[in-house]
This record gives sequence, C-alpha cells and structure tokens, in this order.
Amino acid sequence: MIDIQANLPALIVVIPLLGGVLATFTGRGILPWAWASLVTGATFALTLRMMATLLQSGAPYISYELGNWPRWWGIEYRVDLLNAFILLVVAGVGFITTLYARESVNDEIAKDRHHVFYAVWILAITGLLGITITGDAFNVYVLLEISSLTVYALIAMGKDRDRRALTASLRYLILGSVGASFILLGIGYLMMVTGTLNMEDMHNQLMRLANLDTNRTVLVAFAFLLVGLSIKMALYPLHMWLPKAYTYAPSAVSALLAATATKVGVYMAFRFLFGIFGVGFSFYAMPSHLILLAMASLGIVFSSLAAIRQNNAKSLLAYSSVGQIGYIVAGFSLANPDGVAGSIVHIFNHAVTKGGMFLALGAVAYRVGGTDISHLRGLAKRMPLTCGALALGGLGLIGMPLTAGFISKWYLVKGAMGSGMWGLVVVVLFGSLLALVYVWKLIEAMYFGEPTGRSAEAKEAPLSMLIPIWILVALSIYFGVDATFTGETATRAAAGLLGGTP
Amino acid sequence: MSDHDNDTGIIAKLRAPWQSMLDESPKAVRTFWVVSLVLLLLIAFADIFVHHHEHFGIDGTPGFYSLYGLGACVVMVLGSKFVVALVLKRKDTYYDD
Amino acid sequence: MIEFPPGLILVLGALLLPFVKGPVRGALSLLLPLATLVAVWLVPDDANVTVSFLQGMEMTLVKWNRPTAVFATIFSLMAFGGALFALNQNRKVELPAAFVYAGSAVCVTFAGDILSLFIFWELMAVGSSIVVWSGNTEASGRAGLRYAAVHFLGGAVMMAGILAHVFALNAGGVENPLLLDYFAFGPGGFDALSFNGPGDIAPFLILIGILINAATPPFGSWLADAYPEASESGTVFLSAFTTKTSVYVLMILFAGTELLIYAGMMMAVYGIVYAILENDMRRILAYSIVNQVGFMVCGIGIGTEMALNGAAAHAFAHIIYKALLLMSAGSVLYMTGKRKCTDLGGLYHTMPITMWCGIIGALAISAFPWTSGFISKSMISQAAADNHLFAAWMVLTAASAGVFLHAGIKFPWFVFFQKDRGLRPPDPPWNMRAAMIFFAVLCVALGVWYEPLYAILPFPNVNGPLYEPYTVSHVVSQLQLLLWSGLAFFLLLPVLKRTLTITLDFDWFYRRFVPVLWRSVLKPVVTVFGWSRDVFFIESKRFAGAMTRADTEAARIPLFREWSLGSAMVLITFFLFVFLVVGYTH
Repeated sequence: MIDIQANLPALIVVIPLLGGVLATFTGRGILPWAWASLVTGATFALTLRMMATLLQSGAPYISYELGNWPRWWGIEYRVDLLNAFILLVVAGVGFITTLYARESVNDEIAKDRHHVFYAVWILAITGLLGITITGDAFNVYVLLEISSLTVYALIAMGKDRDRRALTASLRYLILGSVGASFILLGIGYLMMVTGTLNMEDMHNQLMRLANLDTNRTVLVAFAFLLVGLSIKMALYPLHMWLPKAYTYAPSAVSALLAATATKVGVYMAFRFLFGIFGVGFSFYAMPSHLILLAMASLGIVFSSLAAIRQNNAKSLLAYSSVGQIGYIVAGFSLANPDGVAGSIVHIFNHAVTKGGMFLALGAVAYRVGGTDISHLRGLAKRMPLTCGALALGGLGLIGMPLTAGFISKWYLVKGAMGSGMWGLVVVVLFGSLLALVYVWKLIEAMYFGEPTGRSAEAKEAPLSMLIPIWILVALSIYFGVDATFTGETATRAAAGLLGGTP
Repeated sequence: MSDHDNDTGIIAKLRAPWQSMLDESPKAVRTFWVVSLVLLLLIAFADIFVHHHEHFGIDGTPGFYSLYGLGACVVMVLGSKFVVALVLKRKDTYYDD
Repeated sequence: MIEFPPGLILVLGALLLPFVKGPVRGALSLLLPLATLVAVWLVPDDANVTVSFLQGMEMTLVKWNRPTAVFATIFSLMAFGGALFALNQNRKVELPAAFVYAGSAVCVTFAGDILSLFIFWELMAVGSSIVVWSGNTEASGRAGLRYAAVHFLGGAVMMAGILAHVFALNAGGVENPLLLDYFAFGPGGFDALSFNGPGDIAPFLILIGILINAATPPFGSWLADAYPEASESGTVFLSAFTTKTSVYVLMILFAGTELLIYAGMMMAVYGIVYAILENDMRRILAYSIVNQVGFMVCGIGIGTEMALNGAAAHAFAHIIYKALLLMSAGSVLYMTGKRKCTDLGGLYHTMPITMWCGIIGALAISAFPWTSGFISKSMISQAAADNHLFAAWMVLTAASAGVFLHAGIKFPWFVFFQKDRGLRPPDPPWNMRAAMIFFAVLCVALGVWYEPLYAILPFPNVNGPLYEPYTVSHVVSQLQLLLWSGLAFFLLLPVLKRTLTITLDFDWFYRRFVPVLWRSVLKPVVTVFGWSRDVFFIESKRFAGAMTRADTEAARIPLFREWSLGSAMVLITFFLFVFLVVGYTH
C-alpha cells in the first residue's frame, strides 16, 4: 500500500493524471461525470491535506523527489505556503466546477464526446496542478504544454453551441504557443547560464554570477520569460486570446479557466521573478517592473472600459478578468509585503468570485440559451437565485466591503501607498468605479425590465447547478467577512517570496 | 395719471397669484392679510419692550430682525431669479434627450 | 444585554422581508425598527464589542461615542416612520433595501473604529442606491447609477484616506491603528497640518469623502439629482440617513475644523438659491436638506459644546420634519401623480390632513417657536454668536429667514393653495396619514417638551440645562425674522412665479460636459490613435474602410476592437523588444 502521507505531493499530480487517462474508458451516460467528480474530489482532498500537513509541520516547505532521484538530476516537487494555497484554489475550483458541469455539459456538448470532454478536463486540471507544485523549470514547461493543449481542446468543444469557439480556440492556440515557446526559450537560456533545471539550483547559480545584472544571456532569458508569462497571464495588452476564448468556451470551461488558468500563469511569474531571478534582480536591478505596472494599470482601465461596452455577459466578465489580472500583476510588481500579499489574496478572491459568476452565467445559458445582455433582461423574476449570485459576485468585483474583493483592494491600496505609488492608488480605486458601471449593466438588465422570449419562460436553474454556484459565491462573501485564513496565508507567503522568514 | 396707472399695475401684479383664491373666498384672503399685517406691526414694535442681548451691536437695534428677515429674503430671491437663473437656468427637458 | 450592533436587527431582518407576504410582512416591517430602537437603548454604557480583522487589527463594532445616542435613536425612529408610510406599497426590494440602509446607518453610529464605520458606510451606499433605483422608472434607473457612482467615488476617496492614515500610524508603531480616536482630527490635528509625507493628506481625503456624502457643493448635486427620482416612500427614507450619517461622522472626526464653518455657510445659501428656482416639489425639499445640513456642518465647524449639541439636536429634529414634509409631498404625488408646482395647487380642498401635516413640517423646518426646529437650530446660531463669528451668524440668520421663504411657505403655498387646478384627490390611505400624524405630533412635542432630547445630546449638562431656548427675546426675534420674511414672500410672489425649468448644478459636468468631451475630443483622438495602429500594423484595407465610414457607432472605436492575429504578433514582438532594450540600457 502506498503511504499517502509521505507521497502526498506526487499523488496530487499522479491521481488526476491517471484519472484523466482512465476517464476515456468511461463510456456514455452519467459515468464520465461521476468519475471526474470522484477524481477531482480526491485531488481536492489531497490538496487540503497537503495544506494541513504544511501548516502543522511548521517547515517553510516540503520537498519531494520523484523516484528518489536527487533534485539536480530528477524532478523535485516542492510545496511551500504559496503553492499550497494556489493548489487549493485550483483543485477546489476544479472540484466545484466538475460537480456543476453535469447538466451544463449535457446541454452544451454532444453526448458521444462526454468521456473525451471529462478526460481532457481532468488532464487540464492536472497540468495546472503540476505547474504549481513542481520545483523544476523544465517540468513547468512540460506541464504548461499539457494544460495548454487540453485547454485549447476544451475551448474548441464549445463549437456545438457556437461555431466561433473553433476560431477562438485556434487563436488561443497560436498565441498560447508563442507564449509557451517564449517561456521555453527563457528556460533554455537560463539553463545555458546555470547548467541546471532545478529552480532552487538555478537561483543559487544565478546569485553566484558576478555580472548578473549585465549578463546578456540572463537578460534575454528574462525578457523572453516576461513576455511569455504576460501572454499566459493575459496581461494587457497581451491578453488578446482571452476574451473570445472565455466567451465561446463551454460554460463550465469558462468558469474553470477564469478561476485557475491565468492564476497559474501568475504563479509561474512569482516563481520565476521572485524565486529564480530573485527580488534584487527582478525588481531593483531591472526597471521592468515599472513596465509591468504600466501594463497592469492600462489593463485595469482599458479592459474595464471594454467590459462596459460588451453586449454579451460572458465577454463582459472576460474583459473584467483582464482588468482583475491587472490588479494582481500591479500588486506583485510593487514587490513590497502588502502589494504581494494583495496579489496572492486576490488570486484566491477573484477565483471564487469570478468562478461563481461564470457558473451563474452557465446556468443562464442552460435555461435561456444564451448570455447576451438581452437574455438577462428581467431574468431576476424568473431565476432569482442565479441572478442573486451574479449580483453578489458583481459586488465582489467592485470591491464592496464585506466581499472578498474588498480585502484584496485593502492590501493593494496599502501596498501602493507603501511604495508611494499614488498613481496606482488612483487607478485601483478608479478601476473599482468602472467595475461598478459594468456590474450595474448586468444588475440593471437582470432586475429592470420585463423578460422576453425564452427568458420569459425560464425556470430557476437546477439544484445541481445552484449549489456549486452558491458555494463559490458564499465563499466570496465569507472571505470578505472573515479574511483571517486568506489574509494570513497570503501575508506569510508574500514574506516568503520577498525573502523574509515566513 | 401715469403714477396711478403704475400703482394699479403693481397691485394687479400682487393680486394675480391670489386671484384663484379670491374668486373662491375673498373674505378669507382679506382676513388673512389684515391679521398678518397687524401681527407684523405688533411683532416689529415688540422690540420697544423686549431687550435683546446683543452680540455684535447691530442685533440689538429695535426692529433689526424684521428688517433683516425682509431684506435678506428680497436679496436672495432677486439674486437667484435675476443673477443665478441667468446663467444656470435651462428648460426642464434639458437632460432628457 | 446587547452584545451585537443593534442596527444588525434591521440589516438582517431586511433579508427576511422578501420571504414573507401580506400582514406578516407588514407586522415585521413595523416590528424590526421598534426592536432596533429597544436594542439601541439596551446597549450597556460600557459596551465594547470587538472582532479581529487582518493582521491582529481589531474592529470595534459596538461602542458609545458622544453623539451615538441621538443619532441611533432618531435613525431607528425614522425607520419606523418610514416603514409605516411605506406599509401599503408593494415594491419588492425597496423596503428591504431601505432597512439595510437604515440599519447600516445605526451601525455606523455604534462603530468604534474607522473600518467598521467605513464598511457600514459603504453598505448604506448599496442600500440607498437600490432605494433610488426602486423608483422603477427609466429616470430613476439612470439617476440611481449616477448616485451609486458618486457615492462609490466618495467611498474610494475616503478609503484612500483611511489607508493612508493607517499606513502612517503603522509606521509610527501604533498598537491598533483602526481606533476612531486616532482619526479624530479635530481642530488641532487638521488645521495645523503640515505636508511632510503622504500620511498628511489622509485627513483631506477622508474629509472630502464625507463631504461628498454630506452633499456639500460642489460635490452635492447628487442629492437633488437622485432623491426626487425615487418612489414616494423611497424619498422619505433617503432624506434621513446619508447626509445625517455624514453629520455624525464629521462630528466624531472633524469637530472644530474651521473649514466646515465656511462649507456649512455655503451649503445653507446654496440650498436656498436652488430651491427658490426649482419647480419640482420634492426637489425643492431636497435642496432644503442641503440648506439644513449646512446649519449642522457649520455647528460642527464651530465645535464648541453648545454648537455640537445644536448640530446633533438639529439632525434629530431635521430628520423628523424633513421626513414629514416629504411624506406630505409623497402623499400628493401618490394621489395626483403630479410632482411639479406648475401642475399643482388648490389641494387644501380635499387633502386637509396632508395639508396640515405639511404645514406643521413647514413651520418646524422654519424653526417657528414651539416646533422642533426652534429648540435645535437656535443653539447653533447662539453658538455662532457666543463665539463672535459675525459672518457665520449673519449668514445663518439670513438662511433661517430663507428657509421659511422657500420651504416654509413656498412648498405649502404652491402645492395646497394658490391657483386651483381642479384637482380633487382625497387624503392618502390610512397608513400614510398615520405616519404623517405621528411625525407631526413629534414635531410639536419636541418643540414644547424638549428636555428628553437635550438629555441625550453629546454634552448633556448635569447641573441644569445647558441652553434655554424659550426666552422672550429669542421668541420675539425669531418671530420677527420669520414673519417679515413671510411678507417678503408674498410681496415677491409675482417674481417667484413657477417656470418649467431646472437649474444646472455640478452634475452637469458628468451628465453633459464629459459626454460631450468624449464625443467631440477624446473619441476622435482615440479613433485616430486606433487608425495609426491600423496603419502601423499594415491593415490598410480596414484603415481605408474606417476612414470613409462615419464613426458614430461605438463599436467602431479601434482601441476596443478585437486585435487581429497579425497585429497581436507584432505587439508581442514589440514587447519583447521593449524588455530587451530596457534590460540592456538600464
């Protein structure tokens, strides 16, 4: 019998990996979904246990060497507070969206492809978990490819509902591949300089370089990685793949992607910028964090403006996501404790908020057949619980007190002040005002006016959808009222990233 | 004669807003005015018997409050109607289109 | 013993309301405010309920501050009166939203730290925005969005100020930087400010945030913009809480700040001028809120014990008579469907109760002796006089006269008398009448029997009354002032003829100026910028198309248009180039 406790880090990746492969044999009917729920549920339980283990051990990190190879030859999995937290987000949202997916997938995807869908779905989650847990730079790339390829496929499966999903997927495939190759090039150059692929070794070798700040290979690696990661995180204006992909993907996929995919991109940026290059190089020697700040600020303003102008609620939320990535990137670009903590805590807060909202829109699509603003008109009369969830989630996007979004805003603004970045303070607060406008657009549509067409006959969404929706929305409220867990974890993880003692 | 015309002009203008009520019950309107004017005079001349504790000098002057109330209102009304309105007044459908 | 914020009874109770119907809903809507009122008075004197916030900071949810008793009492009472007035209406969300709004206001008064104060402050904005929007017309929808935007902007400014101050306090090694005591800027902490660091800007940001909510010009145009668009009952609720909560917070944080004297004077005059020019009866009353809050703000700026007592007492009295006036106007609107003075008149024939209650409210707002306004407003004027603030005293006295003119006579005159328009509606349903009579009785009762109110003021004097309103001199001078300004009204009636007009205010900037600026300046610039991008990325075909088409359609703004893959690639290369160049040249 395998010792679960000792092999915890490996199991978090191995179980969904095997589960995903096995899912292809589950045939038709309810079985693929049940299997996927089982696998993602087990994975979520493992990440919970991982977090508990880490917190109990009191150690800064838990290292696991795959196949007992020493880490400089083999692959090391390394879990510290930061990635334990992200693992929790990915696995948790993965599990909840899987629970939700049954009715939605039944409705949106041809019956004979369900087993394929769930297999790819689980593998996508596997890839995201793997990127997060690994301590090996090349392994990051491999898993990134696994998650990317599967996500392209997942988006393309939206074609049964809307053919435009295919072009959206192709678009993401092209841009995503460019991003991934840039990351690969960056890792390659780093290996040239350091001779290793293990992240910690890379960092140690880089720190030994006498001329680190002027080493051209390191600079090129840095530039390639920054651009590649920006594409993957959908940092404005390199976000061009995101809006269409989120809009035309199947409902459950949109929720999963919005909550996890770009967040894992941000996590990679944490590992590379803070972990490998180090704070001193990334944020003090290089002025590039100023460019990141500028991109993030522009992103907050312009994508929120773009969100206001959307006529499809899913596109609206997609553009809003680009803006929210702006907050996250702005936070860590400050490289001070409050800013980085704000960035980390917002990864969590935005995942539950936006995930819940996309799920709610999925319920709308399920009942009404589309997510245009016109479909939402007067819908609160017919689907009060779904619309209530959307409205509460919207308050979270604005950053109202008592929602999780407020906690993020609190840290970010404080961080910006800590660095004397008053311009960023203005941008963050102005951004929440713009969020008010686009959220209002949704709320006004839902609560104002009379439903027409299919909206007029729509029933409330089934419980199998409502429960996952409300779990996420309830979390986004709960962690706005009591942010002790998220706040402290983020603060300690930020301290770890910035090199202090966690 | 022109003076007289002018007088009726002012009185006619003052009467106009009351016309509807005068038509209905002229007695009530007349009583209202008589009682009001008596009260106005009584209260203004009360200052002869009442000592006001003055803080600034002028507020101790007999009849100060009466004149100040009348004057302040005239200034505010004329100021609003003829100065502020000149710049800021618009049709009430201004924002509708 | 009450170990939770009493306002939560209203806030959480509001969440029950949508699930009950008929008489249960009615009973619940009357019981919740009463329960809150009882709970307020059951909070022990030494209450100190705390919960922890981030990183060991503590929020103090329940604590008596000096003005808490006055404000919490009147807010609960007002919620009751408003609920009674709203009993017969069937809008689903309005009453729950109004209760969240009122309950949060009560919570603000019990907050012992800046963060819980701010949280409930923002919750008020949510509740009140929904109340505006429950007017359920297109105009109320738009006004609601503007209202929400202004308040969230104010909230954002205030939050920036709070964080800046917390940051400075943290740097100074303060144990629990959220405590309200650290935010009481008062005269010393504010007027003697020196700009040494970003923390010093905090009081200004917080003050601006509060003044936006207090409807101080030029930030105040949201009030007259939004309040008259709400429903009959919605406006009654709205009139009570937002501005008066600001008064409460100003009193806690900025008592004695000289700037507020001038802000208050400006508000008092602004309210009168705009009310004189206004035609919509509820907008007239909305402007007079600004005018009355001006008295309170001025009192807070003076900052002596009597001035603060006066401001608090005036807030108490004001909420009652203003609600009464708006109930009267609301009843007229409810029965006639008309809101403009030019459409109204002669209603005394068939709406006697509404008329008399309106007149009592009008007398109270004018501070006629033996009404609630008299025993409160006079304290502020007295404080100005005692401190030899000549200008403030002159302006406040003139404003007192002006109030009688624009709200005291103008409102009843144009609505109930003047020209008979042939309208013959009866008085409104029983619950509306009951609410009006209840508040009318309160107006008079407070004017005559004012000791209980004086006893709960921020600075109650244990050795006998602090202030005696009914001296012969005071009664006579007030009557002189009011009666003679009444004369001015009737003499100037020909000039005061109602016109079908509105008066531009600061909201013109965001309702007209910015849209025009966008259409005629910014959008062309952005469009040209987009074209240049198209040229840069060699999409001449699309460029030519864009040049020839009119750019009226919003979707044509290239900045927001979907990027083609080709241009995306160029952009990616561009960023790679930028990062490389930056890396080499740093």
